[in-house]
Amino acid sequence: MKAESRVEDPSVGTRVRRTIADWTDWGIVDRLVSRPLFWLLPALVFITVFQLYPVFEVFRMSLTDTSLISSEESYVWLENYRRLLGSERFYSTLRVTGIYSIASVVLQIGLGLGLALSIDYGVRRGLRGPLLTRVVVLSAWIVPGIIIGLVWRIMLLETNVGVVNNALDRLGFGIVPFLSDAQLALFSVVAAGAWRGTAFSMIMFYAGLKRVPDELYRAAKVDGAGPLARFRYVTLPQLKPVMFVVTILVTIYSLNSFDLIFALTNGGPGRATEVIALSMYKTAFNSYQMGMAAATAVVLLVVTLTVTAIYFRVFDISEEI
Amino acid sequence: MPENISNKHQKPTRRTFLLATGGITTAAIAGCAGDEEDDSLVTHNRVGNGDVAFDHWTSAFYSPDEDESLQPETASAMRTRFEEWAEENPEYQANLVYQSDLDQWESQLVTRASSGEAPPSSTLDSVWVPDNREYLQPLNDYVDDIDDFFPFVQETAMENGDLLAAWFYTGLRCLYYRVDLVEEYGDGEPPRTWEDVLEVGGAIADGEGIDGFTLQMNALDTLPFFWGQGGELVDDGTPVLGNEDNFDALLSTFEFFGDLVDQGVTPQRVGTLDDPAQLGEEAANGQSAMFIGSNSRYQISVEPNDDNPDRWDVAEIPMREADQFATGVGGWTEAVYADEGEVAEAARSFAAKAVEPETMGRYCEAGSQLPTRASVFDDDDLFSGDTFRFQDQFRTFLENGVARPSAPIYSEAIEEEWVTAKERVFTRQSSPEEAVGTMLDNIAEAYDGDVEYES
Repeated sequence: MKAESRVEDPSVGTRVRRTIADWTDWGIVDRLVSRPLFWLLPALVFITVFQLYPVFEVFRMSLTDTSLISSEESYVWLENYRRLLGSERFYSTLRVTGIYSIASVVLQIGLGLGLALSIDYGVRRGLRGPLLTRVVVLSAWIVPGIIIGLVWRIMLLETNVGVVNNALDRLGFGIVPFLSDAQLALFSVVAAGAWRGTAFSMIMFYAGLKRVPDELYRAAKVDGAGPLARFRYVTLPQLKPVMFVVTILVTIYSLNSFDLIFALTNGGPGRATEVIALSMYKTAFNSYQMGMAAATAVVLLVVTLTVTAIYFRVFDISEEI
Repeated sequence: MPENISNKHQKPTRRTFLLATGGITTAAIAGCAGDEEDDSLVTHNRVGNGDVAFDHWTSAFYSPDEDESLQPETASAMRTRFEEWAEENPEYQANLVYQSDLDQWESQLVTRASSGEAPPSSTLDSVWVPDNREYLQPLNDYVDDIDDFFPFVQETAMENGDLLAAWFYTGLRCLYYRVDLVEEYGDGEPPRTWEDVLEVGGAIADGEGIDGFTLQMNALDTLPFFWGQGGELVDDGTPVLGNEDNFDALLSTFEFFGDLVDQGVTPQRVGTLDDPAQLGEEAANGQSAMFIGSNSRYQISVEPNDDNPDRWDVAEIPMREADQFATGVGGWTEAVYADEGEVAEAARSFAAKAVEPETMGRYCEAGSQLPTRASVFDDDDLFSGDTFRFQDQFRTFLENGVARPSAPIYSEAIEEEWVTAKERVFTRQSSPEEAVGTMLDNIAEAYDGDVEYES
């Protein structure tokens, strides 16, 4: 037996080398590496631990009466949702969130597209300063929302100390209640949000415009298309994928807006500017009702997903993506 | 050789990198260990050096180190308090763990306490006491003469005769008014009733073109209007502000807010005003004749900004009827979570030290705060009569001090709903009846809907 084995496999060292070779060359390692799962695993672990699990935990918490000031926790199942959907406050915040989001999407896309077209027009004609303009506009997007909220709050103070009211008062318009009037406060919040978010839209649209081939415009001109026709039949179709992405992202940002409104009005006066995300924060950290706050978060997630699904259907960009 | 030497100096080698890293690490460790090796009785991070050590969560406002303290003027008083405690208790050592974010500190305490992992002791804002009281340990055996505390301490920080928090200073709310304007447009006496406020405030607003009366959107500044009528927010943990007697007080308070703005005494913009400094500075700059402010507002905002600060005086908060009195009080406390063993004893003696009359007087004098013990107020050696310009009035006002209620529903719903309803009335979004109705519904909803307001 010993002689035979020596003939088949003359040394232990050879056997070990062969085994290692099997592992390292075309063996287990190779089989592992050749499977997509191996390469997806780090991302899957990361997403599971830092995204899916927290979402699951929020959903689980929404079914409980978890409170920051109580050690006891019990499952109340859908009771938080029943209370949330039955409360006047929820529908008030939903209304405010809807107005804020629709206004934000319209303003940010309109202004962003307008600015991008202006800059693109300037660049195509060799005008100076488009880079500076882009940097200046983008700076509004770089500054944290809390800072922007505070700056706008100081500007809109309802005394002569406020920059805007001081100017209006000098012009004879008197003091305008930008923050203490419920309707004007919502307008102020929308304006501040649009001021901040327009930069993002502008950069996205500008990038999209740079990808539109000049040949298309020249061909359209040859066909006798005027500026408006070129915009309608060349620019807009070419920007459709960008428009889709910007609309989706601006909507998601708007629905989840928190920091700017928190600093500017804190949802006031009398919850006139309280959006869902701010209501959720107050429920969790002012009222300590984590279960109810989690239920609010789940509802916000459902709203966001529903709106996104509607966009997918409306835009019909299956070919582009 | 010279070339080699030159190269060595020009290019960082692995050895030089390791040496530099080692040097930095050693220096850092030495720096970190510096405080531990400091054999002083009191340092920024430690009080005493005994064998029984415990963690005490606090704020840099209460550091004994003047260079590290966020309130340097009180550092000396804190150092004296800590040194005395350490000398009296050489077997103990308190490790001071500084908290920088108030909201996180508060929620951490409650969360940890509810899972049995609270620190042995902590400094607490008096408004946090209600949410923590089920976890706090009695200090009776360590604090002398509990009856000496003002009534609000006994009502808020005591339960069944147990003192649960050593309330070492307080503050109050009062009416600041311009003596010259009240004399010119009124009878010279500060307004005692709401009717007086509307009358003299309206006359000043019309005559001077300034705000007659202002206040900020904070619950504690306006709850005294309700408390002064005998109104109660909570009874045995249940919201009762909608009950028959309380409802009348509640509605009349919000009707007063409505009258203030409707009659032009108070501007609509106070509905967004949540910065007390702004309120005081506006008054100092001649933009308002009367306002509700804290006891320190004069020193912080009025005196430094008004060319003629002597024209200001204080009075009790005006009430619906002239024989009603109340003021809202706050302040900070020391409290203990450890319930047994040497650490619990150490922590309790540490907390109790804060409310010894000498310690309290020394701290309040240094920090321009008000003592919570009547005896400290009354003894000029313990608390100088010159600490506040309006000190005698404050002593009187404190007898009618009311603290926020010791019930979770207050912080869970009542405080926020009160402020929201107030904002709605001041900004004319709702009538007083609508605002109060919505407030009561929301509070009942937050209380799991089990509240039935008696009518």
